[in-house]
Amino acid sequence: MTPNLPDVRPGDPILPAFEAVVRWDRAQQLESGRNVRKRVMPFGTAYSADQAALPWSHPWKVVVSGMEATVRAGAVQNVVPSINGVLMTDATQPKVKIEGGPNDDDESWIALVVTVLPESGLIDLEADEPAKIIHTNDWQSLETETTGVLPLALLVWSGDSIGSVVANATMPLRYAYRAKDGTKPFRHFFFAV
Amino acid sequence: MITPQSLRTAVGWNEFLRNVRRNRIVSLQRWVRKSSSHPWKTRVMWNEEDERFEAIIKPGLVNGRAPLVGQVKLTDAPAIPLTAWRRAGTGTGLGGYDPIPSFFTNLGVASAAELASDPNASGRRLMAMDLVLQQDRPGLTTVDVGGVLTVGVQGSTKLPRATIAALPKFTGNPAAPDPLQQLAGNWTDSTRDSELICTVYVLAPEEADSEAAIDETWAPYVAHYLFRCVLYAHSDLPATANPDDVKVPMTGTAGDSQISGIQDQQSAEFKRAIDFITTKRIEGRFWSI
Repeated sequence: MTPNLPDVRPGDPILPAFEAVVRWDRAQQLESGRNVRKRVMPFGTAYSADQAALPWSHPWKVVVSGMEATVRAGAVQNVVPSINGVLMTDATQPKVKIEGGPNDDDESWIALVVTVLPESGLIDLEADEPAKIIHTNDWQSLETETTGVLPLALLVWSGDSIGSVVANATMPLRYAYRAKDGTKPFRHFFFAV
Repeated sequence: MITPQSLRTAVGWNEFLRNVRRNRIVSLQRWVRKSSSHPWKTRVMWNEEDERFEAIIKPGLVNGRAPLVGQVKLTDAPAIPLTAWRRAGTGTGLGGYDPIPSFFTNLGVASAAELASDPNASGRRLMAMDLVLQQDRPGLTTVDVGGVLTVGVQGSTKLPRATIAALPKFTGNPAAPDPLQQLAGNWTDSTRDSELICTVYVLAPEEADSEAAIDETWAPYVAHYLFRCVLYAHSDLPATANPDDVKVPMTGTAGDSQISGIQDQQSAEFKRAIDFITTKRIEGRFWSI
């Protein structure tokens, strides 16, 4: 809301008005910053923000630094996974160690692993780590009847270093299980919420 | 420069107020780019050397793996040549028609209805191609072995890496086959599922004549249909062919068997075979993650 800022005439006291205006003016000051442009004009100041230029911070966002990866918190079936036994929402910000290198295709993954009770098809909340995040270069071989795996991000290697990261999952997740039935194999399903 | 001294005069004060007015926030504007970057986002550019349009797709993943363009992974940013164009609005495609977005009719392109009645309808020419995600998978096959129908599986049971193809027209996945054809034996189902990534359009310049070849003066546009990485799975493979399950006496020709089966709806073997064939079909699905 713009306060009343009247001009004064010769001889009028200006100190009270001045102090009020200074207080108001100070409260209005905004600075430009990253992706925010400030344009000062005679009648006011305009700010524009290029929001699309900002990186998208989504659940499961993987950022690699050296041979460690940080993963932005997400939940699978309302379960927050752990990293090295520590909840990923912990203030210590646990990191995934990138060990084992890539596979023959120069690829590896940061993957979500859930422990499942085949009888109920639910995530086993009594397990040591009902859901955890790991690094692997062969995620499909980790799947068992009691272990479901979803790649969260693909790491593309260039020699011994990681050239780029391609996000796979970007939303909170739901999980479903189909038990083995006769000749039909078990199946783990992950869906975006 | 405003100083306490200058504020003692009306002129100085008014100058100060002008300064205050300049600092008022009069607008806050959030710039949103016309299209945000997402997996499968496709850029189209003219290749001067080869004189053709090419597409580069921002990597998306299928089951966590980058698809192939030819032998090159999508993460290596391969350029996809766009050469097999169709004239948009002609022919049939998904849903039996090939619509022209109103965006283009507003730019002077004849509508699909006008082209249907007159393929040479006047207006700017609009050409189109589809970029399609393809996943190979096993497919059902039926073989007549010594008069007994045997159901088997063709293709690798281990899913290969998905591929991307540039097609004149994406026509969707094949419809469910006719069970009678399957029961005739020596039949193979489709071994591939597909998903449309985007349609690439190129629009002729306004002054171009109706026969002008596509060149760098044409304007490319992309309509996206896929925005997230996907997972893929197909239905269960049938158990190893079991002649006891699908014992269909195929006396004479396969046709004789069909006709006798149709005429004799009480044939338990035939009905059981139909059930077997229709319930064992292998189908796949993509879903966004």
